[in-house]
Parts: sequence; structure tokens; C-alpha cells
Amino acid sequence: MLLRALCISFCLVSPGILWAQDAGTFARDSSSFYDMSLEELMKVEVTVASSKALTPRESPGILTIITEDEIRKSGASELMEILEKVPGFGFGMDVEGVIGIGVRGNWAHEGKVLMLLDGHELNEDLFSAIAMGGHYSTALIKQIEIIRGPGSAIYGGNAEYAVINIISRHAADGISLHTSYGQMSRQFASRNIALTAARPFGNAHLDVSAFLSQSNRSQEEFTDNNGVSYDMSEQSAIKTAQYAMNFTWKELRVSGLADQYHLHQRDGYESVLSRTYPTNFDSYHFLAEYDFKVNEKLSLTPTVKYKYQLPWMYDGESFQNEFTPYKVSVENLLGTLNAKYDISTSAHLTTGVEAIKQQAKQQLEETYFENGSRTVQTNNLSAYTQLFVKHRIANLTVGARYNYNDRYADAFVPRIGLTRVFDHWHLKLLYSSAFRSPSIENINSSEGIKPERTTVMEMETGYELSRNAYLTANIFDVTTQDAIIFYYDVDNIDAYKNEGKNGTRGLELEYRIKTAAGYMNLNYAYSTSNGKETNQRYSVPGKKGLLIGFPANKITMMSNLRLTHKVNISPAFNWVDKRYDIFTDLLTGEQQVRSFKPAMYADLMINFEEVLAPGFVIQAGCINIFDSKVVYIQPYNSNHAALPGASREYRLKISYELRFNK
Amino acid sequence: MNLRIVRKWMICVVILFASVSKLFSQSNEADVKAMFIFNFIKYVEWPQSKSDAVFRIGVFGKSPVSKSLEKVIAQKNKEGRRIELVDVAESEAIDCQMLFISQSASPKNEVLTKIKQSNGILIISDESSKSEKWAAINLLTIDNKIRFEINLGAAKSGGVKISSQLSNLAVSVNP
Repeated sequence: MLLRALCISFCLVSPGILWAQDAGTFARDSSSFYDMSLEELMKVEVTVASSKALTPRESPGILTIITEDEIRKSGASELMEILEKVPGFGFGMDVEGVIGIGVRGNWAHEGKVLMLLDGHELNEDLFSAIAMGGHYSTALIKQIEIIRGPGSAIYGGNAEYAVINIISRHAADGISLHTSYGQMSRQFASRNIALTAARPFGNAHLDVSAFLSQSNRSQEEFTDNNGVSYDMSEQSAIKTAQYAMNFTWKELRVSGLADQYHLHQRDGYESVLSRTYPTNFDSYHFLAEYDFKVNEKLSLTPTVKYKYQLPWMYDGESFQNEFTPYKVSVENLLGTLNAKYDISTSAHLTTGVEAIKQQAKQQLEETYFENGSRTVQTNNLSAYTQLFVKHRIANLTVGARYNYNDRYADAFVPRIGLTRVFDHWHLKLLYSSAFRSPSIENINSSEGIKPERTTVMEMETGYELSRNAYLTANIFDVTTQDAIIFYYDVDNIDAYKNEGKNGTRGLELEYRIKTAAGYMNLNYAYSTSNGKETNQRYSVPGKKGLLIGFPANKITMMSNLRLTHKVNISPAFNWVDKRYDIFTDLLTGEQQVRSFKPAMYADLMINFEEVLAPGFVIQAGCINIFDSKVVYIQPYNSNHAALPGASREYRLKISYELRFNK
Repeated sequence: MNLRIVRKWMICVVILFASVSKLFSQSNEADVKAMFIFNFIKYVEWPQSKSDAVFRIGVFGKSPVSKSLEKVIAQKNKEGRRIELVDVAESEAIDCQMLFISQSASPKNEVLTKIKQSNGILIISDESSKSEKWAAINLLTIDNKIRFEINLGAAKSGGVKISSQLSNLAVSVNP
């Protein structure tokens, strides 16, 4: 019986196999193949080795890729300006004047978005947050690759909602100098300088870069919910210094990164502080990896990473103990062994094991963690695997990650993705489980804390309108369970717990066109919590479907238009719908909803390419042309007033690049 | 165990294995790329000094594309063409009209300088990064189809002229 069933299925499959071969050039009559013209060859579909990088249309993820050309021509001086134009991305404020990321309407600041820079994990390890604003220079970025969905199966416990992978700009053998100055009406917005140098030494290659920046977050007045105000001019300074080194020798890569981000703020949680205090984030990263090609099919990559951080650090005095000093160092030692194996030209396996040892240590005298000790330590072990199969019906991706940690419960996150490119269309069906690892401070404040779990379902379809124009639409559904929630405990001390569910669903549309005359990326994003359970900490009372701090609708555009051979302009905008926050009425003591009007933030840069000398670029323009109010709302109910951002800014950027081998 | 059952299971396994391995169809990317390279000849003008009786295609670095080029050239020579495939090692002088630099090859700077100084060579790269601007044509794979981009500046410094017909088929043309 079994034999008969298999024979029948084989007979059914065989014509399909023959058809599959016929669709490719191998099954064609060999002489006719060798007579094909270029136009005919352009129609031929080829089977590309599955281990090769996939194009965005066939990748099993909802992707945004921002190229070096787009980054440079946009005139953006820092990463946050670029991310604001990404569908589904938004920003809110946390505490101590720190700005964090929101994804698809969900607050994603702590441990829900993984940010990588040349393989270095930029999230700080005490709360797993990423401090944004005046931080990462675009002058040093070659490409930004964003997965607008979970990536835990491959990337682990910080990649719950999204992954931002930044690739540094250090390929050119030569030196480059970039400087930028931005002026608001009353004070400078930012001034920075970046320097890169690279050169080969036989089989080896070394590049180094340095970035120094000063900026002022705002010149507006901040008023807390008690009615106390202060002028943010000269009281919201941010200083950043970044130094990076990358050395390659054959298949060995050694990389180092020092990142110092120091911001000044008067943010006393619910009230204004009497003076500015610095909050410093210092991170030092080291990475070494060797790509060992065992044979044509198998490659093994052992990686060692070490990270030393002092995040949220303030070790000075404070007036009447209004701002508590905090100095906790955290070390992270990570070892990975990753294997890539080409099972066939159509099937590829990626698998690996990863071990992480984290240790946090109190650096101030007589300060202790909740366990009574001056150190907290965690050990993490995980294994992951992903199989990718290219087939004529669809490309299949199946993967999973198992995570063990000695301080909290295990996590197992599978994912499955089907992608198909057919003629002008593409289709993606994706199901992913993801998790957020509790961070050191989560563990410190809550013994029984466990990983929060997220399930994301996504469907994307796209149509190639012409050779250079694409229209893409996706719908998504995000559900987070056992959400790790921040709250004040009975002693009014910061604490975390797992509580309830939250999530969003929505739609994202993208239109991309690129011609010799320029390009345009136009996006629309919609998200709602309708139909999802919502934790009270995030919901807006009386506004169904809305979450605190983030708009339901957002439209963004990045574009460039070539005027002459050497002059082009880059118009861009970011329109956000109405947003809400919650505050406690001083008179009644009741919670009230406050709304922020829809806002249009438009920018225009004029770029003069290769002027004065080869490699010389001058950019001038205006950011936030309409001087719309920029506000960073705290996206959870904590009685914190929204933090103002930058006003209209006139910007000048000058870059010079000298290549040794030009 | 019953021998008949064992035999049935063995047949099942063989059939299943054959079916599954057939599903992973063979790659033809290299063959199509080789045909692209061959077709480029029609759209490029070489200087008079390079109009030899034998057309030489140089290959720098081993790759499936260079193997496929051998097949294409063998077929074309059967049809009466006179094309030669030349392996270009780093130490040798470069004597060819077209030079294909494979994806795995990483030519040293001295070699690149030597290539640039040799007049009348159309340099073709395979999926090279955009920062490398020395190739006149760069082959790409986009959504399972072979495409190419053109760098007119590199063609000009190589002393060759690319027709506008070919430029019209490229995904991008850099001046």
C-alpha cells in the first residue's frame, strides 16, 4: 500500500520535476541556448546558490535597505534622522532625557530591537536599551539593513520586534573627512567631524575611523506635569565620540569600537531637576572572527566578542539627592560557532551554538544589587538552526532557536517563511516566534522574571511596476505575551514584572522608484491595537486602537532629483498623525489624555557633487522647514511630560574623499 | 523480517531519495552569465590595434563562470568563430580584448594598475561591490535573473566604447 502511494506520488511529482528543468536553460536544446540574444537571456530565470545573499524580494523578512548613496544624498547627519523615514519606526522618550525606538506602534526601547554595527551589538546590557539622538553618525555608515519584524531565531533575545544592521563605511582605500554644522534660530543644532582612513598591506587591510559630535537636543521650553519649566537651550547638550578599527587578514577579521555618548538633562522622572546632570553611556567593543572554509560546501565561523559598558552612568554629587548616582559596569563575553553548509545548489543550512557570560558590577561604594551582592552574573547558552530551500513552487525557510539561561526560563522560538518571486510579483508568508531576554536590571529587580514571548505573522506582496519601480504592501500581526513591564513598586523603586499581553496589527505600503533622474521612496504605515489585548500601561483611555506616544498613520518620503551633472536636490518628509499621552491632573488627581496635533516634518538638501576638486562634496539645506514642533512622548503611563526636540535647522555638510588608488 | 517488505522499503527509499534530489534542480547561473559575457562582444567597439584575428577572453580567478565560458567558447568555435580563453595570472602580461574577473578573485593593486594601463580591454566583474569602480560591466543576479550595470568611465579608461543599445538594457549606467 505504502509502495503504491509512493509510486503514485512520484508519478505526480515527476512531470513537475521535468517542467522545473524545462523552465531553466539546462533542459533547453543546448544549441538554441547558445544562440540566445541578450534580450532573451534577460528573461531566463536562473537557480542561484541558496547560500548567496538573497534579494529583498525573495528574502524571508520584511526588509528596508538604505544604501550609501541614499544616506549621503539625504543630508542626514545622524542615524535617527534616517530611521524616522522607515515605515513603522517612531521615537519616544524613556527617562533621563533618553530617546528610544518604537516599532509598528509598540514601544521597543528595552530589549526589543537589536542594533548591530559591523557585528558589534550596540544595545547596552543593563536594560538592553539603545540611546538615540545625536548618537550614530551617517558619515560612517555605508548601508543600513533593517528587518522590520522579529529576528530572534537567528539573532537571539534582543531581536524581538526588529533588527537594525549597520555596515560601516570603510571600504575605500584612502582618507575621507566629513564635517557638518546645523544652526537653529537660537543655538547650534549639531556640529561634528568624522575622519576615516584605510589602506591595504599585502593580504591585510586596516581601516580606522573617528567621529566627534556635539549637539543640542532642543531650544524649546520643557514643562513637566507639575507646571515647572526650563529652557532647554544649552541645557540639553549631547556629546558623542566614536572610534573604530577594523583589520582583516585573509579570512580573519578583528574589530574594535569605542562609543561614548554623554547627554545632559534635567529630567527628574515626573519633575524637572534643579540643574542639568550628565547621563553617560560608554561602550567598548571587541570582535574577532575567522571564516574557515572547510571545503566548497562547508564553512565554519568561530566568533569571540567582548563588550564592556557603563550605561546610564552618573557618579557625581546631586542637589538634595534629587538625582541618584548610578555607576554599574557590565561585561559581556560571547562565543559563537556558526556553520554554513550548502546541502545542494538549492538547499542551504545555517546552524550554530552561542555562549554568553554577562557580569554586572556596582562601581560606587556601598551600593548593592537586590540580592545583597555587588555583582550579578548570568550564563546563557543557545543553539540555532535555519534551513533554506529554493524550489520552483516557493523558497522555504525553516528555523528555530533554543535558549537556556541560568537566571530565567528557557525559550524556544521557531520561524517559518515562504517566499516566491514570479514574473513581476513577489509574495512572502512569514510566521515567527521571538523572545526578549530579561536584562541584568530586570533580573535584579524581579527574581521570578521570565522571557517575554512574541508571535508575529506577516504577509507581503510586491509588484515590479517597471524595471526600476516597485510597489510593496505588507500586513502584520504582533502579539506579545508575558510582557516585561516597568513599574514603581511599593517603595517607589523601579521594578519589572511580566504582565499580560499587548500588540498591534497593521499595514505598510512602500513605493520605490529609481531612474537616471533620481529616486523616490514613499511609505505609508498604519498600526492599531484594535482586536488585541492591551496592557493599561500603554493604552490611551477612550481612544480605541491607539497606544500612547505613537501615531496610527505615518507617511514618509526620501527622494533625490538630479538637476545637473553635479547638482541634485533631496526633498524628504515625515508626516505623523495625531498622538496622545497621559498626565495626572494636579487639581483633581485624575488621569487626563493630552493630544498632539498631526505634524509634517519636511527637509530639503541641495547637493553639489565633485565641486572644487574630485571627491569634494558640499551639501546645504534646511531640516524641519515648517518648524513643526518635534516632541518625544513617553510611550507608557508614567506621568512624564513629552520632551521637545529640534526646531528648524539650517545645515551645511562638507565631505572630502581621497582615494589612494584612484 | 520478511524479505519482500525489506525490498519494498528499499525501493521506497530509493524513489523518495531520487525524487527529493531531483527537486533540488541544478544551477545554471554560471552558464547564463557566460552567455551574457559572450553576447557583450556585439555591443562593444575595440580600438583598431585590438582587431586581431583571434578574439581573446581573459579570465582572472577560478569560478563556475569561467568553466561555463569554456563550454560557450567550445560551442562557438564549432560554429567557426575564433575565440580563445586565456587564464590571466597576476604575473603575466594581459593580452586580451575582454577580461572577466571572477567573484572570488581579489586582484592586487599592482595588477589593477597593469589592467588599467592595458588599452583596449573590456573589464567585466561578477557581483562586485559598488565601491570597486574599475569594471566597465558588473554582472548581477536580481530576483533570479541576470542583470548588469555599466560604468562608462571605466569603459573609457579601458579604451573601449559601449553601445547605447547595451546601456539601455543595463539596470544602471554610471557616467
